[in-house]
Amino acid sequence: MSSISVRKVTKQFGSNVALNEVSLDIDDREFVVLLGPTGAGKTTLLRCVAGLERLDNGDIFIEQQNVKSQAPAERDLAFVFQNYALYPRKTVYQNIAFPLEARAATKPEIEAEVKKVAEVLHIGHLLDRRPAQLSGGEQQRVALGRAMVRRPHAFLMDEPLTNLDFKLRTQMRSELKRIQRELNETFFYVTNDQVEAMSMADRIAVLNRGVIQQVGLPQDVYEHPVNLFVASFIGSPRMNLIQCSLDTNSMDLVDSSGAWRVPVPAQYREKLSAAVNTDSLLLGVRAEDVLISAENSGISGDVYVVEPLGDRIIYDIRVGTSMVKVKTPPTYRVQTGSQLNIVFNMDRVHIFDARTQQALI
Amino acid sequence: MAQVTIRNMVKRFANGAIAVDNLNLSIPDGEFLVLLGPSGCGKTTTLRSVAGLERQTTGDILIGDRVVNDLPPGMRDIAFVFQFYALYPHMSVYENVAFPLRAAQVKKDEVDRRVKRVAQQLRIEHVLRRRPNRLSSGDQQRVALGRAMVRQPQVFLMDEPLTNLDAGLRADMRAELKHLQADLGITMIYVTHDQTEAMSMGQRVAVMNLGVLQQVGAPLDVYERPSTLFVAGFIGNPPMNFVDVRLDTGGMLYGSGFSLLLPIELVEKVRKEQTQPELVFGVRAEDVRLSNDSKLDTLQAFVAAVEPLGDETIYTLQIGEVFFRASTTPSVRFALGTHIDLSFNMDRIHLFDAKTQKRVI
Repeated sequence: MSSISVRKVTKQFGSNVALNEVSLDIDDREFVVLLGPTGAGKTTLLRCVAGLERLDNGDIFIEQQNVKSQAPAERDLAFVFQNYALYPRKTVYQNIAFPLEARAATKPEIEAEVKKVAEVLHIGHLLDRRPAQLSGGEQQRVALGRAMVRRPHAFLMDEPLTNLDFKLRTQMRSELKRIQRELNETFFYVTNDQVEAMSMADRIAVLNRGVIQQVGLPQDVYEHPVNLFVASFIGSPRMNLIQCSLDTNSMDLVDSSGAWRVPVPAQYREKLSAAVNTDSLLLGVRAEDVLISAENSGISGDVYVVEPLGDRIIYDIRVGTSMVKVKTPPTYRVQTGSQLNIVFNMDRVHIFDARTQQALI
Repeated sequence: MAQVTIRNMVKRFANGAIAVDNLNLSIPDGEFLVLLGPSGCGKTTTLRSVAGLERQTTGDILIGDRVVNDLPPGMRDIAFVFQFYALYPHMSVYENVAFPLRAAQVKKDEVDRRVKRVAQQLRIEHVLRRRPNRLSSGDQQRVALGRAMVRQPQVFLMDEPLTNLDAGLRADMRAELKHLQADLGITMIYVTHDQTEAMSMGQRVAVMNLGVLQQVGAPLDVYERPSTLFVAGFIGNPPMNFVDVRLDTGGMLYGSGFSLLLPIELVEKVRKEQTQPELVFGVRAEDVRLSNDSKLDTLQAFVAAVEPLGDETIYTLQIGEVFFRASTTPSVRFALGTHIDLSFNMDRIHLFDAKTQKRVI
């Protein structure tokens, strides 16, 4: 277990800047998830930490030691990828024991270590099997076991759950989190799946186009995204973003089609009156923060699409020229085409400057 | 548009494997039917047989009143859409939509008439002169649909057309496609393995597994009253919790380290079905309730994992050797490693016969 510190790392491939002055501190025993879309630079950063890429600029420290000039093997990190790369002819036991044998450990030492790892991973009953006889999730655990016995400084994981089917992925999510906690080791984990990131991470680092956008606790990143990218990347359905402007006299937000206006809550007025681009704002509201109004008040719209998902229903409501997604419990049912009123939970809305893309409140 | 009828269809491959086992399904004119199942369940084989790309071994396929068993794909009046975005980038929207007609050597003024009509239906008249890459993703989808519609097919067949899109775009497309289908009254058979897609889009969902049709019904019916263990486990996220139990004569359900008293009316219902005593108890994550309030009907559970997803939090709870997942609003907070009291929404529990795997109540 060790801390990892990435300081102002820049990496270019030709003219393409894959990482632009990225800094990130991962504490000892912390589970940090690096989240971003394809091409964000996530895997490049992971490879830089592992020593598989040379840095163009910046430094990487593992346990306060600068490893910039160290070869991958010297860094003592364990890698877990999508592909498990287990030895097909060896048993599970032999697969896990292999790194220890290479280190010339004694037989009883090896056995004690393999058993211990198998217990944490709940694969004690599989030790005599061969990889082909295991499910995807079990193979994943064996791969992890093989990494664990080496007692590395930290675990680096590159979308390890991608190849598993949906159900197994959901299971492995909570399993990996449990394993990390029991091992009490540092995990640095890369994914493009925001649900995975939210559910597993102690902290999430959101990366886009080689730049760290935000680092924080999952719930904080969800509730207080610092910019438009984070706001729309995290959460499903995507946050509703509605073009509007600020009427500086009344302190109302006015929809771009002029069809409706809502007052800015008192606690945000001061901040917002300092805003520069008041004519081009985006009102951000998550689907669960849009309420269907029982009274004849609020913003009127019509139901464009109904998506029943079982545990909830998503309504696409057309209001003026915008489409607003609303999440309701499954007990609330209205038909496509019906007219209704919506209101925003103004204590939980976000306002972005459309030009700078930064959150104003 | 026309209805589609599949009668006693069997598809056996050359190696003897049965891909589709005596399928009976009819899709009324104007319906959006989703064929849902895991890979290898027979859904794509079914779709390809309707399209005429495969020949069923026995049974009939009717489009409208016409048996099409022996008609080649081109004569069946169907449009097969594999993936959206397969637009020709160097052609204008007009030319993209006109392409299938030009290929069929339809006269120029007839082409013009039909392209304009489709453009009007899809509200893309204003973009006819543009190139596809200058369009929003929603408009691109409309153009792709327009290209299929211009041939005036009786039925639309789609095989996972949204698979390659990123999560946010997929959600937008889902809603748009559903709206268009309803608006235009298209008969649609849509294949997917994604249960969220199926629930959100289908008027009815037909669930297949191992070549056998498991259940057909409206999305919420399938969600709330799954007719087999397979359907119950396949639909819903997180997956339904299952526990192997035995019902004793006193109306108690016993699992390993887990027991639950069934309300008397449920016991009577189960008795009426005269099943054998080995059952599977099922409960969805949103029907598991957590509290710090120990009562006669609560079970003490250990909090084994907490996954905050932003709009909800998923708890993994352990009772004896049994794990339950519970979903709650994010404001409910229980600490990892503590004990809490768990109960079920008994109006919404499920019981299946462990042998036949069929629904009991």
